[in-house]
Amino acid sequence: MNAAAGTEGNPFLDPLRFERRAPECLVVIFGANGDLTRRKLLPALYELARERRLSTGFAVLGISRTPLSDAVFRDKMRESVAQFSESGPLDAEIWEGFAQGLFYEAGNFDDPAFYQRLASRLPQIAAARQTAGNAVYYLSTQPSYYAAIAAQLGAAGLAGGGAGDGRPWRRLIVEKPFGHDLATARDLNRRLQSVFEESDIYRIDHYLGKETVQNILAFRFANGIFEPLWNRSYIRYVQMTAAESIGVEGRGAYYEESGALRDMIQNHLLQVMATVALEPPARFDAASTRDERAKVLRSIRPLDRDQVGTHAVAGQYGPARLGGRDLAGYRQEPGVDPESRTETYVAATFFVDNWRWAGVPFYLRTGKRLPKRVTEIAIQFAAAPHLVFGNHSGGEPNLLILRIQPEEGISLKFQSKTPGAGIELRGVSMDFNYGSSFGARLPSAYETLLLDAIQGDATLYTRQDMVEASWQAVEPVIEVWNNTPPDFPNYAAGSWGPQPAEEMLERRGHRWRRP
Amino acid sequence: MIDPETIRKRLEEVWTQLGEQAGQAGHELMRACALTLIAVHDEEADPEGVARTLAELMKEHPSRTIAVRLAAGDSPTLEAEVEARCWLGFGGRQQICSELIAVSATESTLRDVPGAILPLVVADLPVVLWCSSRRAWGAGCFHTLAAPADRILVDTFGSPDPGQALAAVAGEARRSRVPVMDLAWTRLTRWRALLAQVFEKELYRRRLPSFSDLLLQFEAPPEAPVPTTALLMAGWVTSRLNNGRCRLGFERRPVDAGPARLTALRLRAEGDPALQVDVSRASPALGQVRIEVAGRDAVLNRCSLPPSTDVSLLAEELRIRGPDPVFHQSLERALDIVRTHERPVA
Repeated sequence: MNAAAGTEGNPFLDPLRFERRAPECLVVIFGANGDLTRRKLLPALYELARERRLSTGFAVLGISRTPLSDAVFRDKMRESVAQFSESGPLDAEIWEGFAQGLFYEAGNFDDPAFYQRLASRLPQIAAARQTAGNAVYYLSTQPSYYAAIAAQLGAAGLAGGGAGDGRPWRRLIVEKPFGHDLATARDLNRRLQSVFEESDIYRIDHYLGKETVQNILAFRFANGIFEPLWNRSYIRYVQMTAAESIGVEGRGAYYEESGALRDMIQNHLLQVMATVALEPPARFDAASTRDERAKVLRSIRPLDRDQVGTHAVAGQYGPARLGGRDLAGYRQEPGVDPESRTETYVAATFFVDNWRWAGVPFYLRTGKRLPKRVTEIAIQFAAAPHLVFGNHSGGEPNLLILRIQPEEGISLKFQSKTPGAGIELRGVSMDFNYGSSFGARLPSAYETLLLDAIQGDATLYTRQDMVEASWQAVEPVIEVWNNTPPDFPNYAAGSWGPQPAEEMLERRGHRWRRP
Repeated sequence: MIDPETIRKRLEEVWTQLGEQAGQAGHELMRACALTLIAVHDEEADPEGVARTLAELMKEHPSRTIAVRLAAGDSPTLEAEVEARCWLGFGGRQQICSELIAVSATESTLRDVPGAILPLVVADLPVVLWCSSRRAWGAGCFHTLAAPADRILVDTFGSPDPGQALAAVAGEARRSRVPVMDLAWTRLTRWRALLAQVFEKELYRRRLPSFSDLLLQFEAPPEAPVPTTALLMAGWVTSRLNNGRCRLGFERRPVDAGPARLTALRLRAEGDPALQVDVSRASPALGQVRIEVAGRDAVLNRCSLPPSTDVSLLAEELRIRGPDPVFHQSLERALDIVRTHERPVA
């Protein structure tokens, strides 16, 4: 008998053709009545089931305060999946099979008796659905509950295990924000780690799960021609834009607590910046890749308090009339303080103090109610050192654009001679587009990240030191802004943000792209 | 006659024309090419269907496609037409185009086709030959036609003599320096994935040595032989189990007409408790895995199992580079099964 018939490996696997698949497990969602569960988590799990990526031994237990039966929970989730699924209309027969693995339990997150009930419910589901006792706990609640839920899970004996000791594994996925500042992030990390091993804590930053963000690594490290140019000798500056055309859309109360700096820069954009700037990892695994990301984040030059004014710009949108429609200003949005000092726009300049990037500015900006929804990274290369065609021929530096969303892809702008007599140059574009090159639907970030967590792959999740380093990078800005009354609103809805953000780049002879 | 230089010039003219049209319409134009696909089909094949397949395929695998349409007889026809297939991406702002060179040939001019198309192969990109033509597959000049290819795709599905068809694929695979693949095997990927999924669980994996019965169900007209898909599936399961004790059976569900096709698979393990795994099609687009332990349903799992199309099969094969050892092991085992089962129908 050969290894094929042994019990160690699965002889039927065919990695050449089969997609990677998840081991059996139960996903326990705390906050199962919330928006994230309805819009993202359940649709992502349904897509994974539809694509046959989940084990036959799979189940979901939704937890929330509202009393619901399993049947009502299934009906609610069916509505959500039908509304938010990205792959077209819900398939009734697939749903029927998937829904058999959906369960619900009502309870208060800080009530020890509830966790005792959970301790008896989980084994029942594990037996019925053959999930082998493995569990992923997904915290999709208000952040103030994170530490309490982890502690209660520990007290009820529902944490721990795994790590090759033969016991079922238990993992914890935590949504952002990871703390409100450096001190609270450290405190949260300490409290989570008192229950779960760091290797079992998965801090989700859904930007890292986006195909196009992962493709930055493939672009850089699977091609030989770009990496030699990827440094201070050839790159003048990098600018990253994450613009939204919508306002706070009913999330005014949440946004009042966070603001654009905490909501976007501290996590998403600094993580993407780390992906652009990191050194080549030895291999693409969790430890190596996260080590390199963490090194970049730790290398971000801390701003002095008196530099904040020239390196960071806050904005808040005011009312405007666009296309015959009146748009409310931020302070007029529901749930927002009419005197709010919360920023809806941030532009910031960061420097990475290492040999590769010394002196290269990384300009990051994000905002709400900007002219369009777009996330992209633009890498501005150095100009040709000598213009042999004269100064009037229009030679502009090369620009590499990594488009994260929408129209996902990569463009390289370069100069070309226009046809005809003489030499006239014109910028042209060489484009790669995900949609046209691969045709297939891109999996959503939550599909990728949930599958990774179930498989125990933390490569695309953030680690404690990464979270703390990114808080350290923005901490001076937070402190200065807390102590400086802003002059808000300072940009009109539908514009590209406040004028000082333009000036921030102009001081170095640079300018923002118009995406 | 086909003059490759003339075809190249015509291609350039097509691109210039498209560029002008796109400019006037305010579009950007993008030329996309990831491989050269040489598609050889017989004249009798539905021309609309082939055109649709190639057009759809270009969206996922943009290519220079050389479609050779092969007629019976000894007419001296050997002609080529050039066109671009375009579609709008980027929300309609950008037009993406790939090239199609349509070659018409006959059995008597087939030997001139390789020399005509070789100069048209795109440099430095993979070349894939998809041969659905029985005339070309059996022709003496097939090897010259296949010479530039890095991968050869044929399809034994619906073959009137499945044993001989598989033997021909195996023979070509042994002779060829590049992978030779059968789309009948590609049709099994999703089925195989469903079965493999069951054995991701240690609970079932540890029972592998005790699996003793494999039953493959297919639907076919009364006199049709066991289809190549069922033979390849049998070859795969028994070669993967490799426990030397698996009894094999085939069961026919008679239908009036149509090509024979695999409809279900049942794998049964002896011992206590008895274990039975059924993989079947619950509806035209839905797969079903049922696991029975000691005669009682333990797990029922349903997922998408859309019917294969030429587009989906080709798209899967074009994603793969290099050899597929699992296919070749399964093919050899399938040929053993054909040799040992005189008429393998239960």
